[in-house]
Amino acid sequence: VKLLALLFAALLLQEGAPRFLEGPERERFLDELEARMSARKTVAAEFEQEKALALFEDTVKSSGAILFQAPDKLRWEIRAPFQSILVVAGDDVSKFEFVRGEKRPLELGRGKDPLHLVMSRIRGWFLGKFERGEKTYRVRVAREPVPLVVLEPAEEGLRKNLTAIEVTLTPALDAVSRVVVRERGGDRTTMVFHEKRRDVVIPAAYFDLADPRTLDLEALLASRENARR
Amino acid sequence: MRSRALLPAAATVVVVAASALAAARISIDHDIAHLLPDTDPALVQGAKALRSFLERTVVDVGSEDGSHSLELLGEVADRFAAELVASGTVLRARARLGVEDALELVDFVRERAPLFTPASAWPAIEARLEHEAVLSAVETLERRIQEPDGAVLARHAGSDPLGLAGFALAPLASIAAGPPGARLVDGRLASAGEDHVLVLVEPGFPASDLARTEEFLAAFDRIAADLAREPAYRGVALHQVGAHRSSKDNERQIRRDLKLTMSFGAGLILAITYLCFGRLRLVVLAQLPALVGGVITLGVFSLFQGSIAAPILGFGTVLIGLTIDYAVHVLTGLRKEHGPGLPELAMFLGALTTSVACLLLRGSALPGIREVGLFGSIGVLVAAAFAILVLPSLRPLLGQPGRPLVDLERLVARAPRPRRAAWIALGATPLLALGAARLEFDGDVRNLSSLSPAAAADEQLVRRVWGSAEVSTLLVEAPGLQAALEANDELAAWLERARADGLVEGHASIAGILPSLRTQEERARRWRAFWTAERRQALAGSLHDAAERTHFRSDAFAPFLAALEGTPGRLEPADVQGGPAAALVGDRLVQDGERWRVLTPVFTSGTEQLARLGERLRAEQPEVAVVNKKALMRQVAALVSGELAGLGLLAFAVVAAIVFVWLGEPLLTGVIVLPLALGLLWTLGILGWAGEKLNLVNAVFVVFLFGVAIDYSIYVATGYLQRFRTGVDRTAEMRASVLLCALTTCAGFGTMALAGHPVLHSIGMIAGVGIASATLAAQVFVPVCCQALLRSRLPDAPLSEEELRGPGWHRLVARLYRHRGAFVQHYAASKARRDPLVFALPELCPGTGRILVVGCGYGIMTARLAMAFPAREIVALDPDERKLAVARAALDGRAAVRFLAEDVRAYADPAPCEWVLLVDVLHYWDEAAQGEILRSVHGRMGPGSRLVFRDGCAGAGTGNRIVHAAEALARATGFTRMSGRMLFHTEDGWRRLLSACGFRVESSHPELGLLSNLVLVCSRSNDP
Repeated sequence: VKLLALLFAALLLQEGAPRFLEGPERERFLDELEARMSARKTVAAEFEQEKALALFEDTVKSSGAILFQAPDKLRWEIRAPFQSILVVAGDDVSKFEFVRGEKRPLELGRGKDPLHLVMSRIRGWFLGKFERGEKTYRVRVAREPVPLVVLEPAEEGLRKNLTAIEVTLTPALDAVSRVVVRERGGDRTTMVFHEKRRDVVIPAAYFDLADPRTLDLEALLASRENARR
Repeated sequence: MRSRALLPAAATVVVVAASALAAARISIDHDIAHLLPDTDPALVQGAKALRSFLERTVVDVGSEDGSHSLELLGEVADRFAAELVASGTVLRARARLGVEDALELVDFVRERAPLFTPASAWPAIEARLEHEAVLSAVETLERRIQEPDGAVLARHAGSDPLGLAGFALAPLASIAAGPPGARLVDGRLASAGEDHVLVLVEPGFPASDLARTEEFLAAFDRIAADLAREPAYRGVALHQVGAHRSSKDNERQIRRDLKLTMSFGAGLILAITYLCFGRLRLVVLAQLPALVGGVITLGVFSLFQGSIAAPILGFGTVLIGLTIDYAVHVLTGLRKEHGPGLPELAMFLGALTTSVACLLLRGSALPGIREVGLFGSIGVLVAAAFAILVLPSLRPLLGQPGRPLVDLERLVARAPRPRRAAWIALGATPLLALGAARLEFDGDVRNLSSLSPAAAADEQLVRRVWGSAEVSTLLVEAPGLQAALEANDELAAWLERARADGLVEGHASIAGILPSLRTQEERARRWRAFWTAERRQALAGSLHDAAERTHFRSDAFAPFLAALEGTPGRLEPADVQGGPAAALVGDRLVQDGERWRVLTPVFTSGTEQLARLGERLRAEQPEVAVVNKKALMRQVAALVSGELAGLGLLAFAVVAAIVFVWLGEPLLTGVIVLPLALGLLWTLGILGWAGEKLNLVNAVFVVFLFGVAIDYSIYVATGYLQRFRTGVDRTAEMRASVLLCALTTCAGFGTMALAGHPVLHSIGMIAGVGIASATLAAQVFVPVCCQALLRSRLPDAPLSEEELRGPGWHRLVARLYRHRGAFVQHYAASKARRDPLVFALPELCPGTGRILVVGCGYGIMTARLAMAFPAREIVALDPDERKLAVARAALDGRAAVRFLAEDVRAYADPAPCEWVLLVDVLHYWDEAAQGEILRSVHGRMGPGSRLVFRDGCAGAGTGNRIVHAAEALARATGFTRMSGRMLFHTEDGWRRLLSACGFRVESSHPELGLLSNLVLVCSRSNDP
């Protein structure tokens, strides 16, 4: 009985494990993904993030909202348990923190380039663009059980710290639903995105690098331009 | 006899063959550094640094329509770099500073933070250790970890929760700095629009290595073509900029140009010489001196050095190529069957002045110019020596002189008088002087380069995409690596202050990644002194409290606290050069023998800020050299233009001095030197008005012009001098010869103006304009000035008593000998002024009858008598035809005076003479001959005739010895062409001899004899 139970469990696990595509199938998946994601002009979503790190006593949770406008604008705003805004537009990036409710820009200095690099990567996820040359990451894709892109570091230096980045997509391949960043030593960061509405109109002021407009997602969605849609 | 005549030619063949063998060992060096100065230490350092930059190649990988992603461009860049390295044609090609490299580099520094934390950081570190500050920092850290870029922070949070490593990492940001305007995206240098990325290629060999350069460029083209064929990469283009491509482009252009200009020029030269000589053999022989000069000079060079720079060989060959002129002169003379004479002297003088002008280039600060000077100096002398000494011996090879198809001589002879042309040219001179003032010197070596249209387009594209910001390099140099690194540490600290003061926008010092051992030890000592047990304990308490207020575990920061207790081992250069920073440090740390140089790129906003930086550096860091390519080129330009002006003036002065020594007087020297100055002024003026510029290369050609112009002047002037001095008129022949030289030189070098390469074009322009100007000046001014100066000074009317005996009488005699040779004119002037007999002759020889002057020499006494008695018949005898020619010319063929090259003993004219002068003659003969001469004189005398006798007396007195020494000197120098022993008698001896030969001494005139000379007036003893 125990053996049967183990076999059953194994079959169940086998059923839930992603089936990674190879060769032309993989390329077709990536082409389709890029085409569908690129068809989206904007994304407005809320997210929840959980960080399970060895440094922390427990899992640290945060939440916020993101705005993305193709091809190169992204706003990442954490609202709880603290508030901060990251805006990337074109080649530039800016960051703001809130002290006693007041928004203050941060001097990024030499941290600007790494931050831009990270934000550009995230921007790439929302565009459905994943590196195929496998210089930095080896890209594995699966269509089932859920559409999934797994980025495994190809460079030795990255591999020392990072195990994989798993990007889960909606079945229609038109949105990112979840991202899991797995690091060496068991650290894990999970981000879950809840898209509120597709192709909303986002005024440029929300991506203003010098003074981004305060974001009220509900209000944005209910705005006259978006209400008409 | 014929075989003896060919002996010099045979000897030359042996020397040339030996030189050719030796020259075959010499290799050609294409290094452009020969064109950079080596005397100014700052410029030498600058040039060295510049070379390391010049040897890099930058490849731009760009999207043609901007539609390609940075990722795709990066992929192309990676493939290109990998395939280029795999081709084995380059040392290194770097498409990105990979994430791996960046992380490793950060970890490398973090792990050694005590060695990288500067002294200036400690107050700030201390402030961060305040309890409240620690709490705040840890809370902030917790927040930051939750942000998108928090992963990196999380990784180091345990080992550095307060971000103290930031102080050690700060300098890293600047080390990887690329061109301003570029940004580091994902480890790549990307353009602002992210539609271009850069690949940095280090070929690992100099651009002058053309064979390897060709392989590298072929590999580049092949890989670029392969990539372009791939459908995924369609629309992605590769553009390369660098010294290697430029070097190859230049070589191709020069090859094309030389093919065109040499074939055209050589054809023209052959046609011109054939038209003017009428025989092909002469055309071939005309090339020999330049060939012999070049080969022998190369042979001489091979004895002292194993290689010769290509530009030096080129210029040297051009210089020696000018010596075809000597062959033209000699062959023209041989065709006319002239014997040796003045033209050979003129050629020697021309070669000497050219050679000395070349030799003066040894004073240049540019090693290339110094070597050109030596090469040209030797080559010109050898070629001229061959032309003068050996070429005539090849006369048997000439056969019958051909009939020229174009008779330049007749053309020149029929030309209108040049006086009007001279006035026109003089009138145009102020205008041309204005043009000369407009002439600019362009010292930028980049403008000497000829890029193909594709390369030029690539360069423009790279400049447009990546900007052309003012990037300079600071350079410290020291004996030994650690000394250089210590100096670099000081410079880095100074640069930080300079940045705060607004003197620089940024810098990329390697001090941040490779501090000297001394700096490391100081930092480690300071670290240990700061982190006392008390301080660490207090910090541990603060961190514990902070962890309790956040989600951090209580032991999360244990690694950090443990690390504070010690310091890592010292960092050796090998650790850095073999580690993740190797690529960053590699080309900024250069070993040169025992010395090490550390290079620091600095960025300034413009020339004004750079000037302020340079000023402050000179005051505060005088040992640091600032190298800015543009500024360096400006410095080189200023140095070279100043130097060439100085050397030009010196060459002018030296050439004038040589000509003065030859001619012995300033006026004629001016006649020869004036066209040189005018020709040069016209050349510079025409170039100035034509918008041409002097550059590092064609400026050297100004020296060539010196050589050519002075040769032309000397040669034309020599023709007129020869006519004036000897009456032999070869002026038309010599002017024609100069014209032929100018035509061949213009054909040879002027055709370079057709070249596409800027250097060859500029040489062609300056050669064409310069030689035309020099020819015009020589053909117009020299004849006009010579005709004005070289005219008879013999008075037409009889002299007044005042003129004949007044205080200025001797000047009238001396004037007859002006311009007749440096020695002759001074000798004549001195003789007239100092010899009392010359003055006394008119009174001593009264009457109207014939005068016979035995041994008249240059005819000075004859001239005195002729001026005193214009109508009186004078017969002057001397065996030396050379002196007689001068004497005849001085008296301008006056009908009453006859100069005969005869021995008085053989003189057949039986007509009696009223007076016979036998002055300073007899001592050249033995006693028997002295008797014969006296008896012959006696036979020419009639009743009442008188003999004026003068000669030196034998004896032990000082006067005797001086007279003997002077005579010996005259014979030794060839002034007197007499052989045999001189025989002086005592006064009694002379009197006895005279008496024995039928003379009676009428009177003695001791006041008319210099020193021991005896002056006697005698009559025939049988006279009543």
